[in-house]
Amino acid sequence: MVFKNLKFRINEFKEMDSKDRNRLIKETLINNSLLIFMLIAIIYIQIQRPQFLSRESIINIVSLSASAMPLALGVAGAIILTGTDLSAGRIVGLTACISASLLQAVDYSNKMFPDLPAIPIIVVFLLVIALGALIGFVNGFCVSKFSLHPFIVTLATQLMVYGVILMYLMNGDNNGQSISGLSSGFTELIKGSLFRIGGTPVPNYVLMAIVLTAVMWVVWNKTSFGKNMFAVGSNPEAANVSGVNVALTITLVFTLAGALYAFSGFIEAARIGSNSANTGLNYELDAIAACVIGGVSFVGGIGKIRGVVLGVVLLKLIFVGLNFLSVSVNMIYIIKGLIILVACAIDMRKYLVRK
Amino acid sequence: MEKVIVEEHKENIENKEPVTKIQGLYDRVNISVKALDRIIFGGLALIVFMIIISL
Repeated sequence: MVFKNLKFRINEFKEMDSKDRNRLIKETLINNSLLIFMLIAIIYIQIQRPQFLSRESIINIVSLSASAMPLALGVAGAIILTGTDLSAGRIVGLTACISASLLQAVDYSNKMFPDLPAIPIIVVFLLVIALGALIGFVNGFCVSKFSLHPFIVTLATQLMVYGVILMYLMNGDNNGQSISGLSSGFTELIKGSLFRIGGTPVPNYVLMAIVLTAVMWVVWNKTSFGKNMFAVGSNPEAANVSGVNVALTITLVFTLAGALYAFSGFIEAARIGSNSANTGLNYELDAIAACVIGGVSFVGGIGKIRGVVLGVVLLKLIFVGLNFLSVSVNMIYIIKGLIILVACAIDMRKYLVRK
Repeated sequence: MEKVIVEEHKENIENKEPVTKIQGLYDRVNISVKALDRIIFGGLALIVFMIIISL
Protein backbone atom coordinates (compact mmCIF):
# COMPACT_ATOMS: atom_id res chain seq x y z
CA MET A 1 0.00 0.00 0.00
CA VAL A 2 2.76 2.42 1.03
CA PHE A 3 4.90 1.49 -1.98
CA LYS A 4 1.91 1.82 -4.34
CA ASN A 5 1.25 5.28 -2.97
CA LEU A 6 4.93 6.19 -3.34
CA LYS A 7 5.00 4.92 -6.92
CA PHE A 8 1.90 6.96 -7.73
CA ARG A 9 3.52 10.07 -6.27
CA ILE A 10 6.74 9.51 -8.23
CA ASN A 11 4.75 9.17 -11.46
CA GLU A 12 2.78 12.29 -10.62
CA PHE A 13 6.06 14.15 -9.99
CA LYS A 14 7.49 12.98 -13.34
CA GLU A 15 4.42 14.25 -15.21
CA MET A 16 4.76 17.77 -13.75
CA ASP A 17 6.36 20.60 -15.72
CA SER A 18 9.62 22.06 -14.38
CA LYS A 19 7.91 25.08 -12.74
CA ASP A 20 5.47 22.92 -10.73
CA ARG A 21 8.26 20.51 -9.90
CA ASN A 22 10.47 23.29 -8.48
CA ARG A 23 7.55 24.66 -6.50
CA LEU A 24 6.76 21.23 -5.05
CA ILE A 25 10.41 20.71 -4.04
CA LYS A 26 10.52 24.16 -2.42
CA GLU A 27 7.26 23.58 -0.53
CA THR A 28 8.40 20.13 0.68
CA LEU A 29 11.73 21.54 1.88
CA ILE A 30 10.13 24.44 3.75
CA ASN A 31 7.37 22.27 5.29
CA ASN A 32 9.98 19.81 6.56
CA SER A 33 12.68 22.39 7.32
CA LEU A 34 12.56 21.78 11.08
CA LEU A 35 12.87 18.01 10.67
CA ILE A 36 15.76 18.46 8.17
CA PHE A 37 17.44 20.89 10.57
CA MET A 38 17.09 18.43 13.46
CA LEU A 39 18.50 15.56 11.40
CA ILE A 40 21.50 17.72 10.39
CA ALA A 41 21.97 18.69 14.06
CA ILE A 42 21.87 15.01 15.11
CA ILE A 43 24.47 14.10 12.43
CA TYR A 44 26.67 17.02 13.56
CA ILE A 45 26.43 16.01 17.24
CA GLN A 46 27.23 12.41 16.34
CA ILE A 47 30.37 13.55 14.44
CA GLN A 48 31.46 15.77 17.36
CA ARG A 49 30.60 13.25 20.11
CA PRO A 50 30.70 9.69 18.74
CA GLN A 51 29.25 8.28 21.99
CA PHE A 52 25.99 10.23 21.36
CA LEU A 53 24.38 7.42 19.38
CA SER A 54 25.96 4.56 21.33
CA ARG A 55 23.67 1.70 22.41
CA GLU A 56 23.40 2.95 26.02
CA SER A 57 22.67 6.50 24.87
CA ILE A 58 19.99 5.37 22.41
CA ILE A 59 18.28 3.30 25.12
CA ASN A 60 18.45 6.34 27.41
CA ILE A 61 16.82 8.52 24.72
CA VAL A 62 14.14 5.88 24.07
CA SER A 63 13.47 5.65 27.84
CA LEU A 64 13.13 9.43 28.16
CA SER A 65 10.81 9.47 25.14
CA ALA A 66 8.73 6.64 26.59
CA SER A 67 8.14 8.49 29.85
CA ALA A 68 6.95 11.58 27.93
CA MET A 69 4.86 9.64 25.39
CA PRO A 70 1.54 9.25 27.31
CA LEU A 71 1.59 12.95 28.12
CA ALA A 72 2.18 13.93 24.47
CA LEU A 73 -0.59 11.58 23.28
CA GLY A 74 -3.02 13.23 25.70
CA VAL A 75 -2.05 16.78 24.74
CA ALA A 76 -2.28 15.85 21.04
CA GLY A 77 -5.99 15.05 21.47
CA ALA A 78 -6.61 18.48 22.98
CA ILE A 79 -4.65 20.19 20.17
CA ILE A 80 -6.65 18.31 17.50
CA LEU A 81 -9.75 19.95 19.01
CA THR A 82 -8.03 23.35 18.34
CA GLY A 83 -7.36 23.60 22.05
CA THR A 84 -4.48 22.95 24.37
CA ASP A 85 -3.95 21.57 27.87
CA LEU A 86 -1.83 23.54 30.32
CA SER A 87 -2.81 21.38 33.31
CA ALA A 88 -0.99 18.28 31.97
CA GLY A 89 2.26 18.78 33.91
CA ARG A 90 0.51 19.47 37.21
CA ILE A 91 -1.76 16.43 36.84
CA VAL A 92 1.42 14.38 36.31
CA GLY A 93 2.83 15.95 39.49
CA LEU A 94 -0.28 15.27 41.58
CA THR A 95 -0.69 11.67 40.43
CA ALA A 96 3.06 11.03 40.87
CA CYS A 97 2.95 12.34 44.46
CA ILE A 98 -0.17 10.30 45.30
CA SER A 99 1.30 7.13 43.73
CA ALA A 100 4.57 7.64 45.60
CA SER A 101 2.91 8.34 48.96
CA LEU A 102 0.68 5.26 48.77
CA LEU A 103 3.45 2.98 47.53
CA GLN A 104 6.23 3.79 50.00
CA ALA A 105 8.11 0.83 51.49
CA VAL A 106 6.40 -0.39 54.70
CA ASP A 107 9.71 -0.28 56.65
CA TYR A 108 10.75 3.18 55.37
CA SER A 109 11.48 5.46 58.35
CA ASN A 110 10.16 8.77 56.88
CA LYS A 111 6.85 7.44 55.60
CA MET A 112 4.23 10.04 54.78
CA PHE A 113 1.48 7.89 56.36
CA PRO A 114 3.28 5.73 58.96
CA ASP A 115 0.24 3.59 59.79
CA LEU A 116 -0.69 2.87 56.18
CA PRO A 117 -0.51 -0.85 55.35
CA ALA A 118 0.88 -2.09 52.01
CA ILE A 119 -1.61 -1.32 49.23
CA PRO A 120 -1.71 -3.44 46.04
CA ILE A 121 -0.06 -1.59 43.14
CA ILE A 122 -3.05 -2.14 40.85
CA VAL A 123 -5.38 -0.39 43.34
CA VAL A 124 -3.13 2.68 43.44
CA PHE A 125 -2.81 2.60 39.64
CA LEU A 126 -6.59 2.55 39.15
CA LEU A 127 -7.02 5.26 41.79
CA VAL A 128 -4.61 7.71 40.13
CA ILE A 129 -6.00 6.95 36.65
CA ALA A 130 -9.51 7.69 37.96
CA LEU A 131 -8.27 10.92 39.56
CA GLY A 132 -6.54 12.05 36.34
CA ALA A 133 -9.65 11.21 34.32
CA LEU A 134 -11.80 13.18 36.79
CA ILE A 135 -9.64 16.33 36.43
CA GLY A 136 -9.67 15.84 32.64
CA PHE A 137 -13.47 15.48 32.79
CA VAL A 138 -13.75 18.82 34.63
CA ASN A 139 -11.59 20.44 31.91
CA GLY A 140 -13.65 18.90 29.11
CA PHE A 141 -16.99 19.67 30.75
CA CYS A 142 -16.11 23.35 31.21
CA VAL A 143 -14.84 23.61 27.62
CA SER A 144 -17.80 21.86 26.00
CA LYS A 145 -20.76 22.98 28.15
CA PHE A 146 -19.76 26.57 28.90
CA SER A 147 -17.87 27.18 25.63
CA LEU A 148 -14.84 28.42 27.55
CA HIS A 149 -11.47 28.47 25.84
CA PRO A 150 -9.35 25.41 26.78
CA PHE A 151 -6.36 27.71 27.43
CA ILE A 152 -8.16 29.51 30.28
CA VAL A 153 -9.92 26.42 31.66
CA THR A 154 -6.72 24.35 31.82
CA LEU A 155 -4.76 27.32 33.20
CA ALA A 156 -7.29 27.52 36.06
CA THR A 157 -7.10 23.76 36.62
CA GLN A 158 -3.30 23.91 36.57
CA LEU A 159 -3.27 26.42 39.41
CA MET A 160 -5.88 24.52 41.41
CA VAL A 161 -4.07 21.19 40.99
CA TYR A 162 -0.80 22.84 42.08
CA GLY A 163 -2.52 24.07 45.23
CA VAL A 164 -3.83 20.54 45.86
CA ILE A 165 -0.29 19.10 45.44
CA LEU A 166 1.12 21.57 47.98
CA MET A 167 -1.64 20.77 50.45
CA TYR A 168 -1.28 17.02 49.88
CA LEU A 169 2.45 17.19 50.60
CA MET A 170 1.69 18.75 54.00
CA ASN A 171 -0.36 15.68 55.00
CA GLY A 172 0.70 13.04 57.53
CA ASP A 173 4.29 13.22 58.74
CA ASN A 174 5.60 14.61 55.45
CA ASN A 175 5.54 18.35 56.19
CA GLY A 176 6.04 19.39 52.55
CA GLN A 177 9.13 17.26 51.89
CA SER A 178 9.83 15.14 48.82
CA ILE A 179 8.30 11.66 48.86
CA SER A 180 10.88 8.90 48.47
CA GLY A 181 11.60 5.39 49.80
CA LEU A 182 9.27 3.66 47.35
CA SER A 183 8.48 -0.04 47.67
CA SER A 184 10.78 -2.31 45.69
CA GLY A 185 7.79 -3.99 44.00
CA PHE A 186 6.67 -0.66 42.50
CA THR A 187 10.11 0.47 41.31
CA GLU A 188 10.80 -3.01 39.94
CA LEU A 189 7.51 -2.98 38.00
CA ILE A 190 8.36 0.33 36.30
CA LYS A 191 12.16 0.49 36.18
CA GLY A 192 12.92 -3.24 36.08
CA SER A 193 13.50 -4.86 32.72
CA LEU A 194 12.12 -7.96 31.04
CA PHE A 195 14.80 -7.99 28.34
CA ARG A 196 18.17 -6.48 27.43
CA ILE A 197 19.61 -5.18 24.18
CA GLY A 198 23.29 -6.05 23.95
CA GLY A 199 23.58 -6.24 27.74
CA THR A 200 21.84 -2.90 28.36
CA PRO A 201 18.51 -3.34 30.20
CA VAL A 202 15.40 -1.80 28.62
CA PRO A 203 13.06 -0.49 31.35
CA ASN A 204 9.51 -1.90 31.53
CA TYR A 205 7.96 1.53 31.08
CA VAL A 206 9.27 1.55 27.50
CA LEU A 207 7.13 -1.53 26.80
CA MET A 208 4.18 0.12 28.58
CA ALA A 209 4.58 3.23 26.39
CA ILE A 210 4.71 1.08 23.22
CA VAL A 211 1.51 -0.77 24.20
CA LEU A 212 -0.20 2.52 25.11
CA THR A 213 0.82 4.08 21.78
CA ALA A 214 -0.64 1.07 19.92
CA VAL A 215 -3.89 1.37 21.90
CA MET A 216 -4.08 5.10 21.14
CA TRP A 217 -3.49 4.39 17.44
CA VAL A 218 -6.52 2.08 17.46
CA VAL A 219 -8.59 4.66 19.38
CA TRP A 220 -7.68 7.47 16.96
CA ASN A 221 -7.98 5.53 13.71
CA LYS A 222 -10.36 2.62 14.20
CA THR A 223 -13.09 3.84 16.56
CA SER A 224 -16.02 6.16 15.96
CA PHE A 225 -14.81 8.23 18.94
CA GLY A 226 -11.49 8.87 17.13
CA LYS A 227 -13.24 9.82 13.90
CA ASN A 228 -15.61 12.11 15.82
CA MET A 229 -12.59 13.77 17.46
CA PHE A 230 -11.09 14.66 14.07
CA ALA A 231 -14.49 15.77 12.75
CA VAL A 232 -15.04 18.09 15.74
CA GLY A 233 -11.48 19.41 15.44
CA SER A 234 -11.90 20.20 11.73
CA ASN A 235 -15.31 21.83 11.92
CA PRO A 236 -17.51 21.56 15.02
CA GLU A 237 -20.60 22.98 13.27
CA ALA A 238 -20.35 20.51 10.39
CA ALA A 239 -19.76 17.67 12.88
CA ASN A 240 -22.83 18.75 14.87
CA VAL A 241 -25.01 18.84 11.74
CA SER A 242 -23.69 15.37 10.81
CA GLY A 243 -25.02 13.98 14.07
CA VAL A 244 -21.82 13.97 16.14
CA ASN A 245 -22.33 14.76 19.82
CA VAL A 246 -19.76 17.57 19.97
CA ALA A 247 -20.00 18.23 23.72
CA LEU A 248 -19.61 14.54 24.59
CA THR A 249 -16.65 14.16 22.20
CA ILE A 250 -14.82 17.17 23.67
CA THR A 251 -15.47 15.95 27.23
CA LEU A 252 -14.25 12.43 26.41
CA VAL A 253 -11.08 13.70 24.70
CA PHE A 254 -10.12 15.72 27.78
CA THR A 255 -11.09 12.85 30.12
CA LEU A 256 -8.90 10.44 28.14
CA ALA A 257 -6.09 13.02 28.19
CA GLY A 258 -6.40 13.29 31.99
CA ALA A 259 -6.14 9.49 32.31
CA LEU A 260 -3.02 9.54 30.08
CA TYR A 261 -1.39 12.24 32.23
CA ALA A 262 -2.11 10.10 35.28
CA PHE A 263 -0.43 7.15 33.55
CA SER A 264 2.61 9.39 32.98
CA GLY A 265 2.49 10.43 36.64
CA PHE A 266 2.40 6.81 37.80
CA ILE A 267 5.50 6.06 35.69
CA GLU A 268 7.28 9.26 36.76
CA ALA A 269 6.73 8.47 40.45
CA ALA A 270 8.89 5.34 40.19
CA ARG A 271 11.25 6.69 37.52
CA ILE A 272 12.23 9.80 39.49
CA GLY A 273 12.10 8.08 42.89
CA SER A 274 11.83 11.33 44.84
CA ASN A 275 8.63 13.27 44.15
CA SER A 276 8.01 16.87 45.17
CA ALA A 277 5.72 19.76 44.22
CA ASN A 278 8.05 20.44 41.27
CA THR A 279 7.42 17.03 39.68
CA GLY A 280 5.79 17.57 36.29
CA LEU A 281 6.72 21.28 36.13
CA ASN A 282 6.62 22.47 32.48
CA TYR A 283 6.09 18.95 31.15
CA GLU A 284 3.13 20.20 29.12
CA LEU A 285 5.38 22.60 27.19
CA ASP A 286 7.61 19.76 26.00
CA ALA A 287 4.53 17.74 25.08
CA ILE A 288 3.00 20.64 23.10
CA ALA A 289 6.34 21.24 21.32
CA ALA A 290 6.62 17.53 20.44
CA CYS A 291 3.07 17.50 19.03
CA VAL A 292 3.63 20.60 16.89
CA ILE A 293 6.96 19.24 15.59
CA GLY A 294 5.16 15.98 14.79
CA GLY A 295 2.61 17.76 12.62
CA VAL A 296 -0.37 17.96 15.00
CA SER A 297 -1.93 21.19 13.79
CA PHE A 298 -3.25 23.98 16.01
CA VAL A 299 -5.70 24.70 13.19
CA GLY A 300 -7.50 21.53 14.33
CA GLY A 301 -8.48 18.14 12.95
CA ILE A 302 -4.97 17.24 11.75
CA GLY A 303 -2.53 14.90 13.46
CA LYS A 304 -1.18 11.38 13.44
CA ILE A 305 0.10 9.06 16.15
CA ARG A 306 3.34 8.47 14.21
CA GLY A 307 3.82 12.25 14.08
CA VAL A 308 3.49 12.52 17.87
CA VAL A 309 5.97 9.64 18.36
CA LEU A 310 8.42 11.23 15.90
CA GLY A 311 8.05 14.63 17.60
CA VAL A 312 8.69 13.23 21.09
CA VAL A 313 11.75 11.19 19.99
CA LEU A 314 13.25 14.05 17.92
CA LEU A 315 12.84 16.54 20.73
CA LYS A 316 14.51 14.20 23.24
CA LEU A 317 17.28 13.45 20.72
CA ILE A 318 18.01 17.15 20.30
CA PHE A 319 18.03 17.91 24.03
CA VAL A 320 20.18 14.92 24.91
CA GLY A 321 22.46 15.90 22.01
CA LEU A 322 22.73 19.49 23.26
CA ASN A 323 23.68 18.10 26.69
CA PHE A 324 26.37 16.03 24.98
CA LEU A 325 27.67 19.27 23.40
CA SER A 326 27.66 20.83 26.91
CA VAL A 327 25.25 23.59 25.85
CA SER A 328 24.11 25.42 29.00
CA VAL A 329 20.67 24.62 30.43
CA ASN A 330 19.68 28.30 30.19
CA MET A 331 20.42 28.28 26.48
CA ILE A 332 18.42 25.07 26.00
CA TYR A 333 15.30 26.94 27.22
CA ILE A 334 15.83 29.60 24.53
CA ILE A 335 16.39 26.94 21.86
CA LYS A 336 13.26 25.10 23.03
CA GLY A 337 11.22 28.29 22.66
CA LEU A 338 12.61 28.94 19.19
CA ILE A 339 11.83 25.37 18.09
CA ILE A 340 8.19 25.83 19.20
CA LEU A 341 7.98 29.18 17.37
CA VAL A 342 9.40 27.74 14.12
CA ALA A 343 7.14 24.66 14.37
CA CYS A 344 4.05 26.88 14.79
CA ALA A 345 5.11 29.08 11.85
CA ILE A 346 5.50 25.97 9.65
CA ASP A 347 2.08 24.72 10.79
CA MET A 348 0.46 28.07 9.94
CA ARG A 349 2.28 28.23 6.62
CA LYS A 350 0.95 24.80 5.60
CA TYR A 351 -2.56 25.98 6.48
CA LEU A 352 -2.27 29.21 4.46
CA VAL A 353 -0.82 27.46 1.40
CA ARG A 354 -3.59 24.85 1.51
CA LYS A 355 -6.18 27.62 1.78
CA MET B 1 -11.78 46.02 -0.37
CA GLU B 2 -11.99 46.29 -4.16
CA LYS B 3 -10.73 49.87 -3.95
CA VAL B 4 -7.62 48.72 -2.08
CA ILE B 5 -6.97 45.98 -4.61
CA VAL B 6 -7.39 48.45 -7.48
CA GLU B 7 -4.93 50.82 -5.73
CA GLU B 8 -2.43 48.00 -5.36
CA HIS B 9 -2.66 47.01 -9.02
CA LYS B 10 -2.99 50.54 -10.42
CA GLU B 11 0.12 50.12 -12.49
CA ASN B 12 -1.11 46.89 -14.05
CA ILE B 13 -4.53 48.40 -14.74
CA GLU B 14 -2.96 51.34 -16.47
CA ASN B 15 -1.01 48.88 -18.61
CA LYS B 16 -4.41 47.32 -19.38
CA GLU B 17 -3.46 43.99 -17.82
CA PRO B 18 -6.50 42.30 -16.28
CA VAL B 19 -6.42 42.02 -12.50
CA THR B 20 -9.08 39.93 -10.84
CA LYS B 21 -10.29 40.13 -7.28
CA ILE B 22 -9.00 36.62 -6.63
CA GLN B 23 -5.53 37.62 -7.81
CA GLY B 24 -5.52 40.46 -5.30
CA LEU B 25 -6.59 38.22 -2.47
CA TYR B 26 -4.01 35.65 -3.47
CA ASP B 27 -1.35 38.35 -3.19
CA ARG B 28 -2.49 39.04 0.35
CA VAL B 29 -2.21 35.38 1.36
CA ASN B 30 1.17 35.25 -0.34
CA ILE B 31 2.45 38.13 1.76
CA SER B 32 1.61 36.21 4.93
CA VAL B 33 3.35 33.11 3.61
CA LYS B 34 6.45 35.18 2.89
CA ALA B 35 6.35 36.62 6.40
CA LEU B 36 6.07 33.12 7.83
CA ASP B 37 9.01 32.01 5.67
CA ARG B 38 11.06 34.77 7.29
CA ILE B 39 10.04 33.59 10.77
CA ILE B 40 10.92 29.98 9.89
CA PHE B 41 14.35 30.72 8.41
CA GLY B 42 15.08 33.48 10.92
CA GLY B 43 14.17 31.13 13.77
CA LEU B 44 16.33 28.32 12.43
CA ALA B 45 19.25 30.72 11.92
CA LEU B 46 18.81 31.99 15.49
CA ILE B 47 18.84 28.41 16.85
CA VAL B 48 22.11 27.73 14.98
CA PHE B 49 23.54 31.01 16.31
CA MET B 50 22.54 30.14 19.89
CA ILE B 51 24.15 26.72 19.63
CA ILE B 52 27.35 28.17 18.13
CA ILE B 53 27.78 30.87 20.80
CA SER B 54 27.18 28.39 23.61
CA LEU B 55 29.73 25.86 22.36
